[in-house]
Amino acid sequence: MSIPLYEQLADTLRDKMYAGEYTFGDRLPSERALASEFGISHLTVRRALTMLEEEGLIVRIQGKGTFVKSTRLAVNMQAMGSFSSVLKGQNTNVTSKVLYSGLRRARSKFSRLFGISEDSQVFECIKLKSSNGIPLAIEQTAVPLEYVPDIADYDYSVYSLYDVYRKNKITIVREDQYLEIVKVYNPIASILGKEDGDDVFLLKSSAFDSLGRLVESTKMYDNDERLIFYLSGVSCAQEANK
Amino acid sequence: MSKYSQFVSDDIREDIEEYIYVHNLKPGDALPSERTLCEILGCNRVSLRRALAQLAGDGVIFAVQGSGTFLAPPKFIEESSNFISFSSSWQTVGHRVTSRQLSFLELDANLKISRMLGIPLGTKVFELKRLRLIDDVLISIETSYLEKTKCPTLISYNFDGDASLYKVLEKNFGLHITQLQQNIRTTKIRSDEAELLCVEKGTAAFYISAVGLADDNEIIEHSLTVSRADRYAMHYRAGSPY
Repeated sequence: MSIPLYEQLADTLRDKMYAGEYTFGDRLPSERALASEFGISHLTVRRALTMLEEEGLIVRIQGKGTFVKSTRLAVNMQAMGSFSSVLKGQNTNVTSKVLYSGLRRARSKFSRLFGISEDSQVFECIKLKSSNGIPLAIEQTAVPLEYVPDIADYDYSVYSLYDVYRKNKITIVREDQYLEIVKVYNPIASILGKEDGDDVFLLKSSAFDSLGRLVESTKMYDNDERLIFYLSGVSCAQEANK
Repeated sequence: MSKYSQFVSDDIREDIEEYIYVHNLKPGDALPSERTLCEILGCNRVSLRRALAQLAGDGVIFAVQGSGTFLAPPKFIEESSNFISFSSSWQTVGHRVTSRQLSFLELDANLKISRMLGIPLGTKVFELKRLRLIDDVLISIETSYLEKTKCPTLISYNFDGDASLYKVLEKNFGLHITQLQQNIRTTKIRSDEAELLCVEKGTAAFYISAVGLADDNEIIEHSLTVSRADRYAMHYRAGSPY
């Protein structure tokens, strides 16, 4: 018994996309070319392409051909710190653009979250992370002003928040991360290069310092067509043995 | 104010979340009508609807045509910091995991499977396809690949109900998976998967490609899992333990 041909072709093409052989915007070989390359029927090729289209990996444009929608950078969830540090080792040139930064009242939301008074100030910063002009993620960060009094004084297109924590002798020792898939709407969607109501990754993270304080709460909407998340888990038993 | 300030100063969204918190609304409980909410929060319909759409996009609430807006059930959150096995990691947090075996086949490894398992092309492998349920909710379709020579009689086992593949591998074949490497992407539920998971085609989902290894880094299992994103999220804790 063997795997149906159309699934094998879909697997092969999917692999080539993930391996970067076909990248964003590339045109796939025509149905005819694929059929003759793999020695299979047009119908089989079409079935494989339908699978990939339903998965959102490719788009078929009448009269023009089949195009790759997806190639991705890997985000290592185990690495802590700034966005560029979690993408380390990959041939990327991540740039930050500050879309907004400013102070606000904690109100009940941040008062509950950080355990600070409703009237205290919270610094908020929204950054767009891009690589070679392609939007990767929008990061919204909130930090209580009382923990990092000079936080509003820096230019975050140059500095990372982690730089400023270090200057303030704050050491982030732990990050709690939740990875979800959510829908985004404009303006976030359009800035990320997505359509209104498209699905993207949402990584929510909470950073704790060596005193056990929640110092930073971040929501990062990640362009799912440009990023994948990587995780390597070791069993509890083995961890204990080390 | 920057044109992006509407991201942050989303007072209405916060007010709705505060309403939910203060009134202790439970999953399935209805929110007040739009008209009433506008009165309570002192905002206009357009802003209210935008806030409601964002909350729905994040999976906090859901709307039912003609009957109103309701608080969504919480997502099942998989603890990925310390991997144990699909079943046991959920059991430790009080959830019941069950499976429905969809198919269990013997195949010749294609290019992709042979590469993931590190075995020659055409090697005999088992392919186990299961529907995974958490607390009786259909969450995932998981396809596992294992080399036949490592577990020659595995195919005589049945994985319906609460049988655990990892337990059987460990107890009966001496294969102890202690590390799991996962690549996490987004996908959309295909028509064939939609029927099995009882969701609409095109629903957002996690697409997780994983490799399970033994202590000596021998590859034991390769799996592909599609998990519906409306009910599933992942948690990962980076850095030092508590």
